[in-house]
Amino acid sequence: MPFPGGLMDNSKIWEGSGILREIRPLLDGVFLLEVEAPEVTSRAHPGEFVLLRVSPSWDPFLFRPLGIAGISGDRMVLLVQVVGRGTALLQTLSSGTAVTLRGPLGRGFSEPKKEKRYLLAAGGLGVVPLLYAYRQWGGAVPMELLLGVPDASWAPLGAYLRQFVPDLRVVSDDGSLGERGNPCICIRGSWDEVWACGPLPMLRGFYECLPGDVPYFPSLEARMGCGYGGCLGCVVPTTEGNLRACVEGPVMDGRKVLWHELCK
Amino acid sequence: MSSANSSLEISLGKTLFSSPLFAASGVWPLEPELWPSQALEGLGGICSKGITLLPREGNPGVRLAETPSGLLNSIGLQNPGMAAFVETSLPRMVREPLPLVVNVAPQSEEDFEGLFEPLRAWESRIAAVELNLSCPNVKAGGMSWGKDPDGVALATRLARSLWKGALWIKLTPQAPDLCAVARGAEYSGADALVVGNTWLGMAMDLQKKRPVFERVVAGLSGPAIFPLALQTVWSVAGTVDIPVIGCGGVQSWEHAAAMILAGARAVQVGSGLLHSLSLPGEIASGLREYMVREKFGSLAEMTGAGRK
Repeated sequence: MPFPGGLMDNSKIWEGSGILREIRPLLDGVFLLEVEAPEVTSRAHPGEFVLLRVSPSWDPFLFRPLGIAGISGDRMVLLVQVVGRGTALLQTLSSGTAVTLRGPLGRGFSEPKKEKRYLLAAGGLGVVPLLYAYRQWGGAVPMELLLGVPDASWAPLGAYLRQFVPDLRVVSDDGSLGERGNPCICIRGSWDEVWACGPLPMLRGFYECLPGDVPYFPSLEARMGCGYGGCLGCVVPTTEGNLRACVEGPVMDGRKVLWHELCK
Repeated sequence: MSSANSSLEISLGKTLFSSPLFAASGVWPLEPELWPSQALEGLGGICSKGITLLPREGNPGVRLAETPSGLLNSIGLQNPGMAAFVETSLPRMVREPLPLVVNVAPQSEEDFEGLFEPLRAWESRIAAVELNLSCPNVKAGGMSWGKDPDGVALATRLARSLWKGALWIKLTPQAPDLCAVARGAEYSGADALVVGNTWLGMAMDLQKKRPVFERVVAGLSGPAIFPLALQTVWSVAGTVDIPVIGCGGVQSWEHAAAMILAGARAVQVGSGLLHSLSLPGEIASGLREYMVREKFGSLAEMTGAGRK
């Protein structure tokens, strides 16, 4: 996979039905989905995402972009936070329901190098694409996964992650779970490269506190329309102009993002 | 024609299209490697994103907001400008088998020469130029070209004098008298009219207590606007003699059939592709079955049949 530069390859895009095989609450306002969709799972790569909508209604009209947290066989795991009408509706579905998927989409993380040390830094559910990356490469490449959360109410997410990341490091704003602090303080260290995903202020904070010579690749979230680079609804301001989160991203070179414009 | 393989071929001017369905301007990437193959089945052609004379970064801030059965967009014509389009995108787009319609968006009278001159060398490989008249004419105080018959007539005359190939005029439903505007385009040399474009709307951010979009207004599209779009197609098709291409909210074969019965020779799908990549294929097969069932021998026979 060429990186940086280059685009995703849309010949991989598939749209069709996936079957919801499991849906269960993880914590207040966050639930876990397992969706069977071999057409997506056979081609997905860490950092890529899917669009998902409840079929066949025209309302809600748009798909929701969801990161992939992991793949086993022909099933993928998605962790979803209820943020609006679409995700609230999704939460009411039951196992066995067909959903409409478009994917895999976007440009994910580049293949890590064994001689480098990687920090994967997440804020809340931003851990989703990083978990997939860790599950794919964590056994072969030096990687640490850091999770920042507000407080101990997020403990079930930590417990879920530890199944895959035994040495998960957790920090919380109020110290009620793991160490007290925020990920911006914790990322200071001797890392060769940092991957991150989470709220924009946190991603901007990483950019500001990381040494300038450490490559920094955040995965950015955006409102999304088509997912294939057509509508330009999801652009991110960068030193190279407005780039599409759906095809030039969602993983972007954090040194090129114009954070002051993005965080306005 | 008696089989479910009824031909969906249509001719518009000198060009024969395999299907009356076009991807509307604004939803289709300029890079062929990004074209979703699933959407290609059923399409007769594609309309490029709107190309302006100079590059445009588009609008800052939020660009999309979902509405009941639709969406608002405020993209702001982000595009690389005509020179870069002709240099980089156009040569690759015309190599694809699907006929290409180039959507151009003039922002002043002075833009026309610079927009059309670079396209002339490609005339034989461009199925049509679609003139976007929803954008503001800076010289006319920023009012959109398409709002009054004089503006539409002026823009059409200028384009006609510079372009010998097929010229489609894309009208805006914001025109107070759409039929007068349509006649203005017809008299000034348009080969076909695209009716229409997004409808102006807005959204309010209740947390921030200000409009969601920086430019306040945004374009509403999706099946929410279909009944409005159908009415405009009906009105314009009853007014002009040149072909009308229906555009607005088409999300099913029934929508496409309704527009054709109302008098549309072709139909564009835009936001529909955001909702479903298989939409063109589904519309094409739905239309074929409908034509067999209702004993229409051709699309030409079906066009306007709802007016009789």
